[in-house]
Amino acid sequence: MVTAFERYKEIIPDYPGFLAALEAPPPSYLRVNTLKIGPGEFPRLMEGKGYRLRKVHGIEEAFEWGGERSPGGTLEYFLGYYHVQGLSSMWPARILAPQAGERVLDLCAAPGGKATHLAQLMGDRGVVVANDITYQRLSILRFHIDRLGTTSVLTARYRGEHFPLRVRFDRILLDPPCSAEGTFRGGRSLGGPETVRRLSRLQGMLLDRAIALLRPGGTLVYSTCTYAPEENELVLQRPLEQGAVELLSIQLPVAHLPGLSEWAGERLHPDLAKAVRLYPHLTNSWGFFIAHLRKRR
Amino acid sequence: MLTFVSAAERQEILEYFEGRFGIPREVFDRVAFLREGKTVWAAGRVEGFEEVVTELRIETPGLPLLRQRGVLWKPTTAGLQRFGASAGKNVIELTGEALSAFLSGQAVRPSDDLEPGYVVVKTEGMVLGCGLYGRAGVKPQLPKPWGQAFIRGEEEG
Repeated sequence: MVTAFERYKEIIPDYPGFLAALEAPPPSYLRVNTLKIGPGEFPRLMEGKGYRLRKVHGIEEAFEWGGERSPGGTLEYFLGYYHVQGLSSMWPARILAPQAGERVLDLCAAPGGKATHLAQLMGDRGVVVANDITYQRLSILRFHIDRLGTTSVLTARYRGEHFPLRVRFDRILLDPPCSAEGTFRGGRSLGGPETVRRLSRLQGMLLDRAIALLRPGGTLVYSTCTYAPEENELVLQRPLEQGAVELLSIQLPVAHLPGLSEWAGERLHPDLAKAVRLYPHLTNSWGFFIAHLRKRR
Repeated sequence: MLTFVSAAERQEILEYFEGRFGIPREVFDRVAFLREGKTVWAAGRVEGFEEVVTELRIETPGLPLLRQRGVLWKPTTAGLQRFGASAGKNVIELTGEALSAFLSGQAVRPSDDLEPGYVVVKTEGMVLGCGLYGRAGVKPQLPKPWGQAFIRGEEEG
């Protein structure tokens, strides 16, 4: 495990602290489904039933779960009052900040935490196309749509890099398949360099298609739960150099680091510092990379 | 093929919810109804929705609301949870042992005044889903994957 992350030693602050954080799972987090219950009423209901919740700084709909019991085994989960979701994975939808009435695409949407979050942030008023190629993963997404009760999430099953160009979107969330190093905890093996190379190629194709699907001036959030620069900054480098998109600054009220300005001795596009990197020992959740882009007019 | 319901069918759906459960038709003011095979879906009535449904191959357009069973409608648990809060008739409220029995798949005897057929099942004022009232009592009609997820409690990253 130590060897696998060794190449990030120079970019991860407090590297021993990072390694230590991988030994323990992060707490479970809940996202309140504000389409069904208010974020103020929710903790009163749950605490009244003896569940322990802790508020999360910066995300009013997020709570840390303090119970021994699985948060997916309660009546309130069944009623769709909340979704169990990693805290870091709540940021992409919030950074994309979709507005009511907009047309939004989540290109690699399953299992659906982010797509249903987008719908919730829009007050379920608008169109969220939640696309995923895998039928089985799409059925999990559909289960969450039903449970959370959103009417604005439509599902589609295209290969993301070939998603038809007949419709343009105001905002796009691209959270492509990645090597998932950020969710690594003891016991699971990492993919290795060939996996990273393969995923990086796919991510590049998905990003090209996502940019093509965006209306001029539209915005896109690119996020992964991995540290590999080949799957993050290096995927964004080419469209940035070509001038198709510009990077927007991200304001986060939690500890984070800027995107890399250089990697493996090479200088990268200076705007990549506007992206953010989240590390488990600094946020007590999964490791994440998030970039906010705008398509030039 | 996914199609928007006709004005007459929309009327029929609104009358069903009003007549059977006392759910006012205004609840569906901002909802479009689409049909594919025997399923009626509830979707947002918003600008641009029609273009997306027409131009793309959409698997599911929103929330499943009703399924046709012969000449009868069967409301979905998802649809009742979302739109059934204001139901005033054919509603059964379950607590304690009756609630546990219902959730584990057993029929329960109603104390409320019910007409045979589908009923809204509530607990502590919250809509749990759909039940079918007949000679055996109120049988749960909750979709299987819901029960499984309820037991597993999945988490996503």
